[in-house]
Amino acid sequence: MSVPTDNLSRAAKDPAWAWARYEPVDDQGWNVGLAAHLLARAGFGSNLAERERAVADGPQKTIDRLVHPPEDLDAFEQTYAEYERASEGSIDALRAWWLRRMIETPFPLLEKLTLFWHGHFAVSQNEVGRSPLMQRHVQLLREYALGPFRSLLQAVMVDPAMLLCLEAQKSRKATPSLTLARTLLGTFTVGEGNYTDRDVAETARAFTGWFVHRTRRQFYDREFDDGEKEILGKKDNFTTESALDWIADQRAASRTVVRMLYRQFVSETDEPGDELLDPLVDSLAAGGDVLATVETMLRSNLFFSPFAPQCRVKSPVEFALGLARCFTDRIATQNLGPSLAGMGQDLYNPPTSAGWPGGLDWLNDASIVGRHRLAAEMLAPEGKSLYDLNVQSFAVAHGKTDLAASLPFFTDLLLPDSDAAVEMTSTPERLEDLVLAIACLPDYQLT
Amino acid sequence: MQFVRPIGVALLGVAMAASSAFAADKMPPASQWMPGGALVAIDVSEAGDILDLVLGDEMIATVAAMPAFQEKEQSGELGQFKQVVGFFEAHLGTDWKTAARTLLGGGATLAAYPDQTVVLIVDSTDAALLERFRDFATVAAKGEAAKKGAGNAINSREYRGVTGWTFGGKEAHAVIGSRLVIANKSDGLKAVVDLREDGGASLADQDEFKAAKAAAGPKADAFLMVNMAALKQAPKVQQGLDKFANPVGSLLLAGVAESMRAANVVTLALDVNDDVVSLAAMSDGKVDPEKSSVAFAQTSEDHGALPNLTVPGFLAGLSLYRDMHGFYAAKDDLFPERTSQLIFFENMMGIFFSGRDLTDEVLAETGPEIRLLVAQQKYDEATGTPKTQLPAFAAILRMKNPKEFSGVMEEAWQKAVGLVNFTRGQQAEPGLVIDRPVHGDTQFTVARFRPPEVEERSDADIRFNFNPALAMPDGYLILSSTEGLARDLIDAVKQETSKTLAGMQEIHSLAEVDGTNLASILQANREPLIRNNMIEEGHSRDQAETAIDTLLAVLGHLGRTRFEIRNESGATQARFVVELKLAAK
Repeated sequence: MSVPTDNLSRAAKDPAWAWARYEPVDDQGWNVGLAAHLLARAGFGSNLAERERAVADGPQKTIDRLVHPPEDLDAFEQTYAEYERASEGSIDALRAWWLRRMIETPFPLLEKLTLFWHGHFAVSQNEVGRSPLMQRHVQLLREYALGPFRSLLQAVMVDPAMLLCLEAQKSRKATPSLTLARTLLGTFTVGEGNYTDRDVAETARAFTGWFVHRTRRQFYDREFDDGEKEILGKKDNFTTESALDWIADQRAASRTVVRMLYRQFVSETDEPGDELLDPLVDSLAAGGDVLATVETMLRSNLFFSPFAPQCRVKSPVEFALGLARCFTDRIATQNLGPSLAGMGQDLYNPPTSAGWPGGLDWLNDASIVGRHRLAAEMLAPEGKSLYDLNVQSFAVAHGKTDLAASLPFFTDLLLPDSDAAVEMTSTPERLEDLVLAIACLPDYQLT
Repeated sequence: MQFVRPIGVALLGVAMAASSAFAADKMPPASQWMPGGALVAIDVSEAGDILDLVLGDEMIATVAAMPAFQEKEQSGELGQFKQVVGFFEAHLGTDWKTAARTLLGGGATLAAYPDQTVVLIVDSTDAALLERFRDFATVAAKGEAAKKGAGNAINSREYRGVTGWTFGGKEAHAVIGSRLVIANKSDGLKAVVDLREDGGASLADQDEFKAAKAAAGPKADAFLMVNMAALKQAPKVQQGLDKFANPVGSLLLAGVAESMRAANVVTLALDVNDDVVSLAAMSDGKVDPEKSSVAFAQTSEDHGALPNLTVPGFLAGLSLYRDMHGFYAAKDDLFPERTSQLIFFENMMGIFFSGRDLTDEVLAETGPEIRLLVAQQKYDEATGTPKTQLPAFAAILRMKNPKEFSGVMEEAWQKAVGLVNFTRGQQAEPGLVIDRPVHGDTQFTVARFRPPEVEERSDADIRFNFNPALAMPDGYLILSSTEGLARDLIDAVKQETSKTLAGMQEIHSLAEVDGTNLASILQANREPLIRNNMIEEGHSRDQAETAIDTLLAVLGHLGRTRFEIRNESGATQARFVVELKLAAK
């Protein structure tokens, strides 16, 4: 991944320019590549019609559409919540429904942020053991994904799934959960170097009294340590709620979140300086919505500068759904979940409390083979594929039946925001092989 | 009945694979025109019954009522198909049903050969109509070729006085009198013409074909011959047969795989009698009972599998006649490489049965009559109805010494409930509470979950599908997943007489399924099935509903389906009978 240093250095020196609204100019015009870049980052890929609409509407109007919930969202959410609740404790079914949500949702940014928070808080079915709790946990992430970080933290940190995952299901006065407190401070909020062991011990005291009985959360006054505690330099009779408010209000916590959002939406190839992030940190620390922070990033000069596109490695979910969405609006997702797990992204089961590392960690010998195999399975001809992308019908509908002449069309379809020139030594015998060859290119692994 | 035309033409394909009631005049049987040495052959000698079923008004009405058909009808997808049917009828000068009956009425024979040649001969009862059909097919093929820009892809050539035709070089066909001959290669057609002119070794002379015809008997409407002697040479077939050489496969199939391995010919005979379709499978491979797993399914004139028990909501039953004690005692000889895998199982059984030897002190206490049964559940109001409704299931055995063994069994069962409770307790899940109710004069044991709260009863947890029970009335051993089924089975075994307990002669395996009840329980789970179809197939909600409703409709037209396997003098025979419940005319 080569990084255009001009924009990076200009952004570092001039955060005001970096986060200012992007307005297309002649030498940096709005085109299908930038439209596809925007749709990929704010969702899970795009089809030709969506890109064409975005090009016609221009960047800011397209972003308006991406960041505002559509009118039919409630009905969609209710239907899918019902489907998920009815999954009868099957994590495989939950995974399949979530993937289907990601493909079909009228508000892809919400699912993108839900998945982002799932990776951040990293609650794992392997630790929780009860899929209805996992379903409720992800629903909770979805509910609070766009609002203030403080609200999200308040909801998530006493969620039964979180308490079980961090072995804090019996948080007694005599045995406060240090694991929970350390993870909260070190991973979820202020980050390493910004807290002490004493902060961990005192924060753990603020979480005493919480118990999880089967799937139900219960707070017992008798088990709560109501003594004075000193957390991150402040002495108070902290409760769980007031401790979480205090921790969420720390500027370091906002910086952690903004830094992670930057990796998710802008670039993971550089470590942005504090000066660049400060405007966004200020806004979030002042109680601003996460959505507002993301919106600022998506609308920015930096986002549309040559620095941002192709600067992230696609996660397995982005890889598979992006490929699917090029050709169809719906695929069978039952078998997709296990395939993605094999490539390193097991939904509902992040590997550690730090979530999925992302970046180049997505690419190793095994996962590259896994990507090739999954793409081959997805693109298999009708009748042989579990996913029914039906590339042949797509090609016929777009008048691309001449295989040799179709290479530019399919290259643009799969690599709209890449300058990669695709050359083939020989024309594949089947259309599916042609598309597979493009999907296995190094450029296709990037977004 | 414009809407039924497409169905009829679709069913034509089914009927093409079968036919013949009126043997073609002055022509030898089609099998005499086909070369010998076939791997697989199908001979339809009595097409009348098959055509009556497939083209009957009841079948047409049944298919027309299928949700998938209705959807295509309403969406207009059948419009083009209807146009083709209309053209077909106009060209042939008769309605599609009459055309089908006439074209297929003389029967059909199909054979496949080792060089991948496939030959099909169809006997019509009207040479003129057959010629018009061939002309129709030619016109249609020309139209297709023109659409694809392939020009004139229809070619013909004379060979020994017969005009052979090909559409695009992918097949070859000829009309000889009232007989249509089709081959996937021109050499196949030539071979038929040569045999007709010169005579020679034909399919009719092939030993395997003759053996299959004899095995099928004169009443069969059609039969399938599988030349096992030749097919077994293929490594994949051999590997397929070897797959059943495992303990479970051997025990369940009891000699079927061995019989297939020893067979020269396997025959499938089809008999259609009104709405009852019977398929009989026969293997001529004889197995030495002393040297195979069939030894543990040795029936006699007095002993065999017992009839399945009748309970309300019966879904499926499997009745086996197996000497479990003998089989398990011989496991080291039968499957020496697998014995180590059974150590864990034996150790667990040792815990449940307080250290008793599984072979000699447990399995030896049970008789060879083993029955498994699945039935619809009735849910107690106090329990509520689970979100997903699972059927109840049970195993029914007979004890040799019920007085001594019933106490041992009771203890083992309660230990198993205890283990389940302990495991569930570790996962903070509710456990089972044991009770000892009385049904009639039988006291039995049941383990129940405590009822859910009132507000949860219309949408209860899946665990409320289970309240396992153990009952031991009159020497029977009943292990049931629910109390309700245990009670029904106590009643059912009380109805058994010495006559029914004698078992069915020679039958060692019997499986039965009630399609109507099966459709009923699936109907109760329609919503979960639709949801599952959506994520499994990638269907929209509407598509998933159509797929599931079609499945339910198909099952609803199946009555009792029965499959039995018997062993006579070392040879295996199987019989499959389907009772169809078609729509009214």
